[in-house]
Amino acid sequence: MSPADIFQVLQLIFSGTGLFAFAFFLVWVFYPEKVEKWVILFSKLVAYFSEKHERRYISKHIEYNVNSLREKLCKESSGILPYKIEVEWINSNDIESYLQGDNVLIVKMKNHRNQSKNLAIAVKEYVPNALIPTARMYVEPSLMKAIDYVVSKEFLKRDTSAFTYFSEVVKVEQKVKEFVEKVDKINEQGYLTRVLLSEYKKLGLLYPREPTQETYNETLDLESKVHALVTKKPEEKVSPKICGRFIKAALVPVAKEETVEKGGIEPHLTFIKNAINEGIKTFYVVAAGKTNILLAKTVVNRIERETNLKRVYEEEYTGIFRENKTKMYLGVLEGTT
Amino acid sequence: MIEEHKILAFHERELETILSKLKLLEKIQKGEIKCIICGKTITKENFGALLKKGDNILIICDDPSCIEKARSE
Repeated sequence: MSPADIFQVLQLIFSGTGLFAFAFFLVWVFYPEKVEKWVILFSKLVAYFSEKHERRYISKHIEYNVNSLREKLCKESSGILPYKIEVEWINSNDIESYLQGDNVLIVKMKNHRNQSKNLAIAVKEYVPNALIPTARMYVEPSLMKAIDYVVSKEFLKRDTSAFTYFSEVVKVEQKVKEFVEKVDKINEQGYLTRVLLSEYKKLGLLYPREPTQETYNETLDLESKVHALVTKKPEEKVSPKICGRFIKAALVPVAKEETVEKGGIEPHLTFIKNAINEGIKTFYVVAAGKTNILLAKTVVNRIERETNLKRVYEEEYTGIFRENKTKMYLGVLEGTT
Repeated sequence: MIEEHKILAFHERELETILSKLKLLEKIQKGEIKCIICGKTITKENFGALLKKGDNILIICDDPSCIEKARSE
């Protein structure tokens, strides 16, 4: 490209339309989510006048809402939702060819004015097919249904109408309902994705073996221990450790009252070192509140220095701890051998 | 490259045409078709999804729980 060509390009860029296009291009490169939102908004506006844009709005709105949260959840625990959602429109002319295959499900999407219902239906179809797909068969079925329900609610929280519709319409069996209450509590503290699903997804390694009562029991055991931790009273001691055949993990809650009482973080270090010898592979060091977070980080640092465990994940986030929004911490340590 | 879970969909505007093609329109108008999950009578309003299982085309109402169960059963 000659200097004259470059000059011409620059002239075009900085002319009226060129400048606008260039600015749009920059926003598209640096803030793709914003552009996606604008496209959805634009499609919504023209959806009243054009069938093509109405379809576009319905599908883009679903894809944006689901895929953006999917990304967030996968940051908390990578690979728990390996598939993105995509809405594929079928014309009446093509319906018969689609129905040639087996187990093909084709849903009816309502008018865009009922988009909340469309979103609820899409989420209800997506979550049980996309959440830990190869491992889910090894999780106790009622517990898995409860997890699907809680994760689906998470997807719909940003759309009040969709959330209300979902809560009103979706019926839950009594056994599942009891699990939903417990899983909700676990989710409030951020441990559903970061701990429970992180452990359950590992069961995918068992695929294609048939699930057994043993795997079900271990998934129930972990759920019950994490629930005991999130609902424990301040003075109550819980030992969320599970050394099963398939799940070998421990939660290490670091709390000021405990550490001060026992003179420092030594009891936590001893607990982890003993648990390594018992065969525990993954440690979730957790804490709530600023001081506890500092102590927890010290535990993680010391363990990394003194054992073969490596920090594979660390995050500070906001969760609901004893009914209050609180800064929470999670550090995950795993064996290197 | 992230894989996708595709949701196959048609717009409610096309429901009548699709039902005619599949020779289901009259049956639905007569109230002869029930949701395979909850047993509710299917109308054009509460029609939720079509499911091809074996040689059969099964109809599901618009209750999200029925749609989820239909896929898993």
